[in-house]
Amino acid sequence: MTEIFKMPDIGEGMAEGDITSWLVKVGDTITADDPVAEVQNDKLIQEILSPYTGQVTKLFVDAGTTVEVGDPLIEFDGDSSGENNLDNSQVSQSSISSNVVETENSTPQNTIINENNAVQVANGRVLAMPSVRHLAYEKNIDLTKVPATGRHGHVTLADVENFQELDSSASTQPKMSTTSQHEPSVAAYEKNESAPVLREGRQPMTPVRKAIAKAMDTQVAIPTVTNFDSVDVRKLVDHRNAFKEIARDDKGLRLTYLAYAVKALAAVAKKFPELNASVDMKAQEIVYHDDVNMGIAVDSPAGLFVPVIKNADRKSIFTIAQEITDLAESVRDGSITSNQMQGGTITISNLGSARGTWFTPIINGKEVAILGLGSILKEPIVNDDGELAVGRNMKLSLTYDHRLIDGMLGQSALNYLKQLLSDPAYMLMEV
Amino acid sequence: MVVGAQAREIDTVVIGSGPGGYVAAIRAADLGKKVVIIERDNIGGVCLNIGCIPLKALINVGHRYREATEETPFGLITSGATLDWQQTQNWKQNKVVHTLTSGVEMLLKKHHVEIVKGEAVFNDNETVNVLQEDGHELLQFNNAIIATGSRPIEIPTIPFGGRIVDSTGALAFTEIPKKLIIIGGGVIGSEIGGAYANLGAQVTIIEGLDHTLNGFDSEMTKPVLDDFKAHGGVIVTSAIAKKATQTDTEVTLVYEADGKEQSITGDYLLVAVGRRANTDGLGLNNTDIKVDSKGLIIKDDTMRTSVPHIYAIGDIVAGPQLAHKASFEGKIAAAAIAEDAQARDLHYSLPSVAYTQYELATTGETPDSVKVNHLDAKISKFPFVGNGRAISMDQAVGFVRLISDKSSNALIGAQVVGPAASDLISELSLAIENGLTTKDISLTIHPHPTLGEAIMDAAELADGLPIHI
Repeated sequence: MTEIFKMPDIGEGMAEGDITSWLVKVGDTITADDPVAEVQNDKLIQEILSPYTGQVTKLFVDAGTTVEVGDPLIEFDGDSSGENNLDNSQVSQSSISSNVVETENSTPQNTIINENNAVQVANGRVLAMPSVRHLAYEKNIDLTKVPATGRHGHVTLADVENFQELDSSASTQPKMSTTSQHEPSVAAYEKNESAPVLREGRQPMTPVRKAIAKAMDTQVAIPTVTNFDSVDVRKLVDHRNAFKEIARDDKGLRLTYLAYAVKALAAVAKKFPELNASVDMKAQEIVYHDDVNMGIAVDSPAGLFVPVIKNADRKSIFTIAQEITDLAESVRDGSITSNQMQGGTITISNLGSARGTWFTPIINGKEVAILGLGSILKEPIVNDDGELAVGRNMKLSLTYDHRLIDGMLGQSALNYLKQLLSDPAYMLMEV
Repeated sequence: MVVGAQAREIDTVVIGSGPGGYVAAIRAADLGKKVVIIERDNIGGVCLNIGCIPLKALINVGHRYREATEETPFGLITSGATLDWQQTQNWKQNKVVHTLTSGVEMLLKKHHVEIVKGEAVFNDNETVNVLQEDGHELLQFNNAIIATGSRPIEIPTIPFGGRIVDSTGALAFTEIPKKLIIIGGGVIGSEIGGAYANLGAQVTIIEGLDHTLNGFDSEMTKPVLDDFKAHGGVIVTSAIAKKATQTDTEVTLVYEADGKEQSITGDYLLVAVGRRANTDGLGLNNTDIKVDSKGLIIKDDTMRTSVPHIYAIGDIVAGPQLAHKASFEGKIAAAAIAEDAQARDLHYSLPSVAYTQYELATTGETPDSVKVNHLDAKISKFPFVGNGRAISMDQAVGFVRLISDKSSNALIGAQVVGPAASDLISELSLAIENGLTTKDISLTIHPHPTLGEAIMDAAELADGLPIHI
């Protein structure tokens, strides 16, 4: 019986993807759930799995072709078992292909992680009593990483407590150095031995570069305006200095200015819903979004990724800081999934840690606004008493879609953002 | 009572006093909150007043009546047993329901929870208006827990009234029906049907799906269905109820099955086709609380809705409509309000029970879920015919089935059919929740002779060293 396997939707709302390579050829006999092709989507390369068992009789497209969801991919001769599984189960654990980011990460198996770690049973759960699970949750510890000493691989209360000590002494340092803010240090590039040596001539774009170029290309047609501004953040600097110790000691996380900016921009998006919207020119409608899902531009040796902090307006600054750390780490170790990069409604890009000042950020996806964060510079200011003083000025660049947002609205939003950033106490009252 | 626009300020408001609401209220009060609980009808909600508890009372009467009136193999002959139905109803209402609901009312008072009677409607994200017969009271809250439960779904073409009743009506019959028709063979329909079958009614169940007792597999339900049919029960599956007409003495249902229209007449018709969440009259449109397409309130694993200081628990949120789920969620919501570290739903297994003639109980993974999720698991089953206690009770029907992870032997699911399944399932849930392996269970001394030994036997079977099979 002949079956046609069509391009599945491998990510939320994916419309098309590039077949980067075929893993099967005509004549191959494969069984259901075997990987058949690698598909590039949203900067990620994912394997798609066969829903059918049988012999491949035809490949409809060549590798390198862009196909839309629903387009025919493979013709099979064989049984149609699993035909009704045409869903996400065909997609294997997403991973960034080796030519994108150097990674040693392999997909964790569902059984035993390693000899010393907690046993994970078939349904993904860990052998640990409820009180132990709660303690791990409280301490923000991933139970699957805790060395287990209990009978049959059970994680005990003591295991979780000991892990906390180990974690804070051994693993916080590397964590902090890799995930400062989202910008990679210059050293990160230098250390990246796999970076190609550039010579005169042509070089093919990497898949990530292609994806970025394509995304930027479609943004060119949008009429954008960028408002530049600067705000004195002395109080914010003090606040962060006071709390970064607490964050590090109590929570084991690095509190960055970016986390504050995410929270403040989320409040702006709530107050000015036009900034948290999309334009649908076809329908001549404005699409307002209820949730504030904030994209965070994260650089990596492979290129720019924009993972999303979902419901940023409902999260504490500590939680946001943790998520920034985790997402940035996922980008760097290559474990970021397409799901983590979807659903953004507004974006923030930070060049401050690379000592950038003002720049013109480009709107991401179907969003209408993006905030660029620049450095905090010591600059002369005239204080409230009319005296010359040393200020700490943060540079802000707000780019917005002029089809929806006019200059006055853009500046009002920026003013509100400045107000929030200038005084964390005010942020506390408003957010 | 305060009348007017002046709102009274309350720290925590709980709407609904069922097993979700009253538990949440007591826990929140114990964690230091000033709590007001709002109840429209009776303290205790559906479960205590018109659901689980009175139904179990009638099921119990059904069991005893059947034991007394049917021939038993152990020679106990009780000739001429009769049932005073009025006395049964009085006992159910006054001894069982009243004892429990007044007990809950007392508990609420003991924990300093203020009870406000009336129907709660949200004015906005911060205030709730309690509508009463002769006025209203405005409460301004810092935190709220919505626990308003569910109500029976009505089939538009077969409206409730007269001899067409919902589960509440079926529990309050003034006589035992001679012929009872039930639309819906889910847990509620099957439990009520089983109870009245034991009390002598001729029961017919009309079910839309191709099987009854959804949620339990056919291996589990077989003894129940066999017994039901052996007692004159009729089950029509894949049937669609069309319309019903009634007179003073009987009701006739027209339904479609096997492609043709058929009809059946009985003295009562129970419609038990599911329950709808009570979210429609709450004034949610005045708040920023989000609901899904089914009208269920969207919440996170701390029970927090899209309005961070309003929580939702029980039948009005996703998941099975079970009292124990509501209570568990109520405690989480209360802890979240009190900023307690335990405020998170980290449970592994949710047990579910049907009080049919032979009780059905399941927790964690099932053979079906193992298959669907491609889990590497093994299944071991020990029948009650090999259990001394079950034989001595003349109830050697059903089995204990364990599902364990193949590599670690940890228990990840279990099902029990048979005597006391509703109680035995707790040990199995405890085992799953605590990551016990089948070895842990078989190394635990189980007293003899008990039904619980069947669990130990099933664990030994999983370990490959069975004694009794």
